[in-house]
Amino acid sequence: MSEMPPGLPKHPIGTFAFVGTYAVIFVLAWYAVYLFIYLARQPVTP
Amino acid sequence: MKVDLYEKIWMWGVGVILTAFFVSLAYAAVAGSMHPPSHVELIDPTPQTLMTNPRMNPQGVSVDESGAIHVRVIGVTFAWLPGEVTVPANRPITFHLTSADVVHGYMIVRTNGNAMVIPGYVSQFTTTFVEPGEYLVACNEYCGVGHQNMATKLIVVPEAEWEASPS
Repeated sequence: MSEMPPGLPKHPIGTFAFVGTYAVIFVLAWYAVYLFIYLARQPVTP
Repeated sequence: MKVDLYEKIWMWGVGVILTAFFVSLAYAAVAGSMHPPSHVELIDPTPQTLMTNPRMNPQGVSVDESGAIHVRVIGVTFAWLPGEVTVPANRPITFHLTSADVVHGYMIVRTNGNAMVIPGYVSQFTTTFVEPGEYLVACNEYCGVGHQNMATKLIVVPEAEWEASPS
């Protein structure tokens, strides 16, 4: 593994923020579909 | 084992999200009765006998002695038989679906009506359409070169209109 250049933060904060934002949007979108489309359509009765 | 704080956050985050998704789906399935349409009923899929099989007749819309409305549809490559059907709004409609050849999918777009149609089985579900209108019925299981043409219409009319001229 190559050496990290000096002066960089220990953890990639920008990457963390970017992927974290993606995760939050993903979860919110998943629950939007779940609540407003999936559950809103009601079950079919077998 | 030394695990970095950030890695712990990622692992716990992923675990929490997956658990939340699973619990949500389990809740819908158990408490909300959100199950895939299914019905264990076998039928001889031979095309020569399927069309006249009493359990798939009459095809289209029919009303039984109790007043319940049934829709029987047979999927063939690449059409639904019969094509357009007209049903009343705000009445439970029981669909009986089977295939004469390959696996199809009977999807009433924008509604909860959506079932796999498998040769040798009768798929069944009961649903109620609240809003009158024309609904696209599409095959959503790839069934061959003409799959994209396997679509028809389900017409939902107000109950009074349907009672006046049931189709």
